[in-house]
Formats: sequence, structure tokens, C-alpha cells
Amino acid sequence: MRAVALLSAFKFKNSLRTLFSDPRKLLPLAVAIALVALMIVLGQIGINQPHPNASHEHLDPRAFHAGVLLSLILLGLSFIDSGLGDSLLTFGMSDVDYLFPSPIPRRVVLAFRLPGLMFGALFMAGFVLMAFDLAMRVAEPKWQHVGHTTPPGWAAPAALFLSGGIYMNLAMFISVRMNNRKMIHRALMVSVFVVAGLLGLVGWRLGANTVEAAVLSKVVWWLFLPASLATESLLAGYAKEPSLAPLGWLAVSYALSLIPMFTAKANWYEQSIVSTERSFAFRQAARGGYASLMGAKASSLKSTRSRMYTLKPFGSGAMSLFWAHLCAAAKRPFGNFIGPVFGGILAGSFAAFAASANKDTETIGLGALFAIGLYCSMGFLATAKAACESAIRRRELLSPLPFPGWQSVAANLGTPYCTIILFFSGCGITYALFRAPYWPLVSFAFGVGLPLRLSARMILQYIIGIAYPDAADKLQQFFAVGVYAIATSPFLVAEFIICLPGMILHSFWIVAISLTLIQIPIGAVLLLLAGKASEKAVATGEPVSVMSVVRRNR
Amino acid sequence: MLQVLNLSKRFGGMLAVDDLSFTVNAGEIVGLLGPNGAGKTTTIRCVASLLQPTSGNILLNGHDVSDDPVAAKRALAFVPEVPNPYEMLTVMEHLRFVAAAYGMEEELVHAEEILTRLDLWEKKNDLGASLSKGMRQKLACACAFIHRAQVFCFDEPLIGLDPKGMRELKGMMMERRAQGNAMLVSTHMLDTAERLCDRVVILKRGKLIAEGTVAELKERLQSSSDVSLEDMFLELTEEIPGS
Repeated sequence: MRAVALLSAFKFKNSLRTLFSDPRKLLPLAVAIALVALMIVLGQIGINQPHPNASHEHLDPRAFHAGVLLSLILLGLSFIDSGLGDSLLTFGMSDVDYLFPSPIPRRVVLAFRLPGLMFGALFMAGFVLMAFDLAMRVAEPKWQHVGHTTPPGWAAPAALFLSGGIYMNLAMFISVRMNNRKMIHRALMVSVFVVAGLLGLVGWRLGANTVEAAVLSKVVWWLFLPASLATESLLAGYAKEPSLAPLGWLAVSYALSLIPMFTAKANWYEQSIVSTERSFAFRQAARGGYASLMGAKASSLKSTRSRMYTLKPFGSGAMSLFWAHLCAAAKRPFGNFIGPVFGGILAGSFAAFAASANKDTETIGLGALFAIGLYCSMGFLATAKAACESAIRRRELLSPLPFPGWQSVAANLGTPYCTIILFFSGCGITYALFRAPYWPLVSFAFGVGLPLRLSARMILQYIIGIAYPDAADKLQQFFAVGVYAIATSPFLVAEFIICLPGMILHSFWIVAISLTLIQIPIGAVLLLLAGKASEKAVATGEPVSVMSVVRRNR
Repeated sequence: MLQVLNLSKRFGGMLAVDDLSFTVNAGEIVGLLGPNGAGKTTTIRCVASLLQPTSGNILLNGHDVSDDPVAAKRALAFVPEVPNPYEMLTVMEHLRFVAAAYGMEEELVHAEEILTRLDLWEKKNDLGASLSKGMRQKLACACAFIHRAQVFCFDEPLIGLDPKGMRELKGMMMERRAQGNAMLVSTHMLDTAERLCDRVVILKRGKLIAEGTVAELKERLQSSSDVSLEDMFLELTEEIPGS
């Protein structure tokens, strides 16, 4: 334990030394810290200030409780799903070379990973508190029976942190212990869609009350105990009920969740080396290193099933690169093409049924559609990040090809963008076919607006991926988050300004069309910048500074 | 010191190492030879407990690496093929970390001597990120020599080193052999292997195809005395054009 502590201390000390040697590096760090602080403060304000405005129509607290619980369950499942991928076991190559062969027990090496997981849980708690505050302001649920206890302000953030931490520990345990993770990931995804479909069906046939009863049933309570306890703790502030009991149980559960993780004797180093080498290959490529060699090495340890290419060649120049990406994507037709269409149809149907059932469920249907759009956007952005990483990994192969950088970026992002269009179009068209409330506006937003906005965000992420490619360096990742926040803020401000006339005139259509139209120039400018960054990265073989790309284009 | 018993390692459908057995005794340097993809790195990674053997056993100083990895690894020093130092650790901090990991901080008194011999003393306060490829290789070797390991596993240790570094490293390896340490060295440099190693183990497609001293191999192949290890290696692995 002492050696790992020493290693962490050395790394921390030298990171700070390097960081403070260049004050410019502190800016993204400051922004990232400010964002976390802002989330927590806003969440706190939201909890301590209930909204007893009686003139508004209030949402039934039971429905609100079910909605919050469902959101936390989905978040918990997404954490568990992260354990079914590679990310949790990705270490640095230095760890593989120095830490893994040393006589330090594997559980100590795992403990070395724990602060990262705790930070993730803390970040999630801040984010949820902010979203919860927003939901409270929109829904304004009014409790019939309000108690007399005022829970301490830290109870809700602590409960969310512990709940997220439990799911993250579970994800880590799955990473360490399970070998057939891909199969479990597929089973989990199918189960989530089946349960969502069933809930939609139940809501349609039997009404929203039955869905609420199902979500708030004892089975769900026990099955997703951390999320249930966190929900109770979160709502206790509004219902003026004691929140320390669920918090106590969460603390006990958190401690218990550490036991399986640290008692598992599995040799997870092998799985870790596979994912670490894959990540290392990406970093090496980004630095102009031996990408092909490392890529081949990483893939040699990966069990892959070879599928036949299924598309005939088409196009020339950058179009042929797009064809190559489509061919690769066609090897996984369900994940890339069929799944998104079905997912979109399912989400659109659920929202349409819920919104059309009666006036009470209209808000639920539209709210669900908004939540699905937001959740899937985050997922699709993560996919686009993976596409960016793959593009950088293949830079040695692609850089000599004779077409401009922006075309190369467009071709690289083309396949994930097809997936996005399939999902959102499926959703929008299905919603329109059911003639559900506000269907022209919803279909326009899902069919045109959201895909265009996501394309701009994807390109922005691409630029940041080139600028901060060091996937294994926590500080670099932290910077990337900060830089992404800084980079998106001017676009958010521009979007807000362009929406002002629509908001003043109370016209959703003007807001939607303005928001959609502004994405076209934003996307075009970002695509040019990404192309320049891509070309510059090829020339120098080093990570590209975002600011230097902007300066070059002045 | 090091016993590899019926080791097999499978990656999905590919058998990388197939029923491999050999030993490295105290005071012996054994060369692990073979063409690309023969399974040398996989074998060494199994010895270092980085990969879980599909079947078979590896004993390091009597401890099974699968059953008691911590005790087994305490006896082992491992130098990977392409060492990646911690970018945010200085050269000296690497040695301090490795000494602490093996619980042998008292061995740090030898740090200056080891770093000086490997031309790293001047760079003792430099970060790992600033080291060249050769310097990284030397640092990995320095970390291997800083604790009192009984068994050394080197995966292509001489690649990237300058001539002086190569000579110094070979000298340090021979000193450790004289002190009774066991060494397993994977290499493609057959002339070096011929001069440095007491015995060689030749692999092909994961299988052991020959084992013994250079003299024993010559006898088995009925070669004349002027035939080099390289000639024998190519004959054994059938890589002579037209053969």
C-alpha cells in the first residue's frame, strides 16, 4: 500500500509542478471546478427552496417520485454498463510495465482506482442535483402531507454520491470478475428496451397510475435499492421527512459493495492489458508514434469475429473513406443501423402513447421524449468520441490520402452521424404517424433540429479529441471536460440569443427554426476548424492546441 | 529458480504457447529465441503474471505464479519489450517506487552506482516523459537491478540501447549470473545470445523445438564447429530460402 501511495504522491506532486509551470493550463481546470461547484450549489438552492406556488398546476408527487426513481435507475444502469466495457480497467502502460509485475497485491492496485470512481460518483451527484432542481421548478409537485423535519442540506448530495458510488463499485466488480461482458452488455441493453416497451404498453392500456404503481413497487425498491434510497433521501427535503435513515442504509450498502470488489481473486490484469494497450495505441498514434504496430498488438489480444464486408464500393476521394467506415459499421448491423431505428420507433411510440392517452399524461409523454433525446444525445456523443479516437489511431494510414482535412473529418464522423439520423428520424416519424400532441413541432425537432445540433457538437468534440488525446492521463481527461465546457459556452450563448425573439413572441416554432438554422453555420465553421486541426496534427505529430487552430484561422 | 511446466496460453481460438516446459537454474542465463509470433513475449508475460496461463504451471523460486502471485513476483525482476516509464515520475522516483514496491528501500544505496553505469545519474531528476527511447530502456533495467531479485526476465533488453549501454547491461547481467541469479532473456540478436547465454530455448508457433547449449545444438544438428547459432536457428525454424 505504501508503494502505491508513494507512486500517487510522486505523480500528484509532479503533475502540479508541471501544471503550475504554465498558468494557461489552469484555466480549464478552474472552469471544471467551477462547474462542479455550480452544480452542487444550484442543487442545494433547489432543495432548500420548495416552490409552493398554488396558482400553477402541480404534478402528482407520486408521479414525480416515480420519474425521479426511474431516472436514477437508468443512471445506475449506465454506470453498470460502463463496467461491461473496457474503460474501468484501462490503466496506463507504465502501470502495466511497473505496477502489474511488482509484488503489490491486485486488490491494492484496485484500491488505487477507487478515488477515480469516487470522483465520478461525486460529479454525478452534482449533475443530478442540478437536473433535479430543474425538474422541480418545471413540475412543481405538491405534497399533501408534509412532515416537520428539515433534513440537513448535505443529506441529498451525500445520498446521491453513495448511490452512484455503489453502482460504480458494482461496475468495477463486473469488470474484474466477469469474462463474458459483451454478452451481459447485450442482455442488459435488450432488457432495458423490453422493460421500457412494457412500461409504455402498460401505461397505454392501463393508465399512468399503473406505471407509477409498478415503478414504486417493492420489487423495484429492492432490486434497485441504492437508487430507491437515494430517491427517498432526495425527496425528503421537500416532504419534510427524515432523510438520515435512508442515508445510513446507503452508507452501509456502500461499505458492503466494496467487499466483493476487494475479495475477488480473479487475475484481471490480462483484461486490463488488452484495454490499456488499445488506449495506448490511440495515444501513440495521436503523438505520431508506432500506431500500426501497437494497434496490431492490441487487436491481437482481442477476440474478434470476422464478418464479410457487405457494401459495394462507391464514391471517390473522401467518399471512399466514408464507404470504408460504412463497411466496417456494416459488420455490426444491429448496433449501428437496425438498433437505432427500432430504438427510435420504440421511443417515439412510447412518447406518443403517453402524450395521447389523456391531458394528465401529455406532460409525461413530452417530458419522456425530452429525457430520451437528452440521454441518447449523450450516448451518441460518446460514440462520436470513439469514432474520433479511431480516426486518430488510423492517422498514419489516412494522412497521405489526397483530400482536405474537413472532408476527412466529415467522412470519419459520417457513420456515427448515420446512426444518429436513423434514431432521431425513427423517433420523429413514429411520433408524427400517431398524430400525437404537437407532432409537427416534435417531428421537426427530432428529425431536423436535434441531428443538426448534434453534428455541430460532434465536430466540436472531434477538435477537442485531437487537442487532448491522452486518454490515460486523468489530468488531460479533466482538461478535456473543462475545454469542452468552455468551447460549448459561446455556442450556448449564441443559441440563447437567437432564441430570444421566439421566446418574446411565445412561439415554439420560431425557437425551433432559429435553433436549427444557427447550427448550419456553426457546424460549417467547426468542420473547417476540425479539418485544419486534423491537418495540423498530421504535420506535427503532436496534440494540437485548440487555441493555436483558432489563431491560425484569424 | 524458474520452472515452466506444460505451459499453454490460448487467446480466443489462437494457441500462442503450446505445452511449453523448460527451466532456468540459478547462475544461468537462458536465451528464449524464436521467429516473430513464436510466443516469446506471451511466455515472458505469463512468467511475470501479467497473463493468466490457460494450463500448466510456472514456479518462481518455488512459488506458483497463479496460486501465490505476490510471493512469486517478489523474486522476479521484469523488463518489458517497450518500457513505458511514468511520465510524471523522475528517474530517481522510479527507483524509489520500485524499491518500496518490493519492500527493499535499503537497496537504494546502490542507486547512484546503477544509474551511473547506465548513464542515467545526470538525469536522475528528469521526468519520465522527457527520456529518449534508449534512456527509457536503461531506466527499466535500472529498476530491475535495484531490488534483490533472484529471477530476471528480459524481453528484448538490448533494443534501443547505444553500444556503451549494451556493453554495460551485458556486464551487469553477467555479474548477476555470477551472484547466482537466474535470467531468461528473449532476443532476436542471435550473435549476442550465442555469447551471453548458457543455454537457449527455441520456440516456433508456441512449441519448443530445441533446447540446450550451443554445443549441444550443434551436436544434435550434426553441424561443423564453425556453424553459428544464427545458421542453426534458421535451419531449425526452416527460414533459409529454398530449404
